[in-house]
Formats: sequence, C-alpha cells, structure tokens
Amino acid sequence: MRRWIPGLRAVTARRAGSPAAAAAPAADPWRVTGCSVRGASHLRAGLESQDAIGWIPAAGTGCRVAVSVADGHGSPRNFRSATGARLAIEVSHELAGELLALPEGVPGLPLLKDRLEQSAPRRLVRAWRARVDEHLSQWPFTPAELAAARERDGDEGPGCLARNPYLAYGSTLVTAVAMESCMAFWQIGDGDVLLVAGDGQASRPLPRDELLAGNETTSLCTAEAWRLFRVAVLGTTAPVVLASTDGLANSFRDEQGFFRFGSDLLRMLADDGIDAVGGRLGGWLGQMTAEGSGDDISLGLLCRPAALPAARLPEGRDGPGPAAPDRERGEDATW
Amino acid sequence: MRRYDASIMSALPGGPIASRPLHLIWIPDCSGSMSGDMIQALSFAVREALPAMRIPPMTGRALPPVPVLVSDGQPTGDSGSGLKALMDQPRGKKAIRLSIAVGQDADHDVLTKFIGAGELKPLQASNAACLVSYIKWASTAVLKAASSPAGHPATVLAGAAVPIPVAPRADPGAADVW
Repeated sequence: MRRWIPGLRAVTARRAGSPAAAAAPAADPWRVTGCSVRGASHLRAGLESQDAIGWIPAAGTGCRVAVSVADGHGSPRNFRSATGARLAIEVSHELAGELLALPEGVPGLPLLKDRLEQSAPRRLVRAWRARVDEHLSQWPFTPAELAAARERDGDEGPGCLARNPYLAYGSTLVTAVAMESCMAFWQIGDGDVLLVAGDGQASRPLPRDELLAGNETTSLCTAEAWRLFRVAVLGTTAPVVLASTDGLANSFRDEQGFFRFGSDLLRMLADDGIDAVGGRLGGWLGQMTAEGSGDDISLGLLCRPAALPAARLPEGRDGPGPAAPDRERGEDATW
Repeated sequence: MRRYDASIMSALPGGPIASRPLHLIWIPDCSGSMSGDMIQALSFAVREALPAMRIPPMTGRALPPVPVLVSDGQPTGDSGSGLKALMDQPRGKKAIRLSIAVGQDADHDVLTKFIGAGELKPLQASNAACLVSYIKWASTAVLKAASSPAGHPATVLAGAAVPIPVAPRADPGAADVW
C-alpha cells in the first residue's frame, strides 16, 4: 500500500532524525475539524444537502481520531440518500471506534491491515444494510414515494425498490483514522482522501477506482458492495489528512489544483492554527461549490499540530523576510 | 523564521476553480442521401448552437458526454463500426446518447440502435425549423440535465441515468417538409 504515497515515504525518511521528529513524539494529539455545505445546484433547486460528515471523538481532539464523510447520491432514484449517508457515518464510526479503543501496538500493523482488508468491508456493508432495514421498518416507503418510482421507471420502479430497497438510501463513504503511529482508510465510491506531508507534498493513500466515471459511482447500495471497497493501512502518519466528498475535488480545474489545496491548507494550519482554518472552511467550500462543481461538499480535516512545520510571521511584523510564493505565477507551494 | 503575506491567508486555498466540463458531440451523417437541403439545414443548426459550446479536454472530472447522431438513417460505408468504436470507449459507455431522424422517410433502425434500448426514441425532424429546434434543445435543456452533480450507483436500471427533459413538439404545420 505504501507505494501510493511516495511523497510521504520520502518525508518520513527525512524526518527520522530531524529536530521536527524529536518535537513530535508519538503521543502528540490530533485535532479534527470539518464542514459540510449545500451544493449550489441544490440551493438553486431548493433541495437539501445529501452529504453527511462526522468525527470521533466528538470533542475533536485526541491521540486517536477518525473522520468520515458520505455523499448520498441525490438522484430521484436515491430519494432517501441523505439518510443513507448519515447511517454510513454511524456504522463506519462503530468500526473506527473499535480501532481507537485498541491498546497501542495491538494487534500489530500486519494483522490490523489484514483484518481491515478482509473483514471491514463486509462488516460495514452488513451493518449499513441492517440500519437501513431498521429505518425502513420504522418508516416504510410512502405511497407518494412508490408513485414517484412508478412514474419515473414504470411498473418496474416499485418492483426494483422492493428487490433492492437499499437503492433509495444509496451513498458513498470515506473514512480516515489517525492513531499514534499509523493511519487507516476505507472508502467506497467517489470522494477523496489526501495526505499532506510536512514539505507540503500531497498524495493519495488509496488507489484509483476505475469504475468511477462521470457521475456514476460505486455505492453501499450496489450488489456485493464489499467487493468495491478500497482499504489502506499505513505504518506512518502525516501532519494533515483530508477526507472529502467528490464535490471538493471536482471544483478544481485539475488534480494539481486539488493537491495544491492540501498544500495550502498545511501552510495555513501551520501559520494560523486549526481553529482559524476551521472557521474559514464554510466560506471556502461555499465559494467552491458556487464557482465549481455545484455539488454538496463535505470536508473532514485531521491535523497533528506538533508535526506541522514552524509558523511564519506576517511581513512587516518583525522586519522584512523572504517573499511568500506568488500564487498568480503558480509557484509550487513548497517550504 | 520565514515571513509571509497575511493577505494570502484570506484567499481561497488550492488551484483555479472551474465548473465541470461537459462535451456535446455532434455526429452528422454526411452520406449522399443527406445532401442538399438537409445537410445545409444541419450545418446551419449546428452553427447556431456553436456559441453555447466549449470544448475543454475530457478529464477525469468531466461529466458524461452527450453524443447526438443526426441522420436520415441511411448512412453509407462502414459507419456502424465507427460508431461502435466511439461508444466502446469508457466515456462512450457512460454517454447520454440522443439521435435525430432527418426527413419523413428516415430509417429509425440505425438511430434507435445508436441510443440503445430504453424509453428514449429518436426525435423526428421533418423540416429545417424542427431540426433547429431539436438541436437547440439538445445543446441547452439536455446539457443542463446532464450537468446535474447528482451521483448514480452504476447500472441500477436500464436506460439513461440522467432524466432527459421532454423534447419540444414538432410543428406539424411548418412548411418545407422533407
């Protein structure tokens, strides 16, 4: 799995004997923040957001943390996908909570990796479907929902829902777990996990899913959904980890722009702190959906403050200093 | 300690923001049976719709393309293999396909085969005004529907994943019937 994060591996190697490594012992706590905004197209159409976001611990700080985002599909056939997204976060955090409660070093990285890859997807899908069944038993499909399905898909519509009621709740799921010295990720469907190394280099810990194209996505409601999960366990950590629904990456003109988002966030977190950055997320994401994807956007942000690069002072506060990278010229966000 | 310009911190992080590209692909039948008024009308209609179209590269974030086959259903040569090759592309398989039959005697078989099974049928354009109307509809209303960011689980039901808006009605009283 490590071959997918060459940047992080390089930085980790450089940091091994560095002062920064000494200043960031394994027990340094993580901070979590995040934000979810309704898509510009949903605002125009008067529709609710179909995204969900959550993190544990709820206080947003700890030596072990997890954040999840889920993107309910939002198409007319997935008319309960906002609920499906919320249920996805709940079941994922049950699993993540168990990881967070493990004694340090148990069960060991190879076994943890094996367990997550082999068992977690089946368990997550089974748990999500059980939650959907539970929700359906309390709130069966209404005559209006069934009539809409018939109008949309003919007589096959209600029949399709009867065969696969999970379709109405369809959602993706992205989870990132950060512990003292390792990280774990699982994902089904579109969305992104981005790691940002101390030098600002961003990388993806999970492989691409070739099944994703256009607006089509794999989903918790897909048959044999557990086969479609992507899982990664890394025996190292990064100072900043992002988990986002696809509305964020799709707002950038290209992937470089998305990676630069991670690099810029690292710089801002180092200079201004996570509380200041967390306070700006809503405005940023709102602007991105308005000028970019038009989709709902949810962003979860894990940050280990002690592992961030040193903060810089604003110019003029303490004499002149080197100029910051010029964004207009498109200079790389390097340190 | 390094210095930075504090104004940068209020700027939007990341690279340039842009809406997702969507490709509308016209596939005109230029065989002999389309010559004369029909091909001229088609040329005029596409030219009229051009200002609304841009052609950015088809990147990973691009929305599913919308290919539109415009034909009298009697293409010559090996058009079938060409269309198949196009539609066998990964993006072609996810495309929202439309077809416009030109002329009252148009053979709908080729056009129906192009858009595949489903409720959507070829649109019938029997005069220049009707053809213009359909081409404008495809390049506006259909593109708007295809631009929706709503996701879809892969292959849940036969037919288009994107709901196609109702096409404008052909004007039966229009002159110059082909």
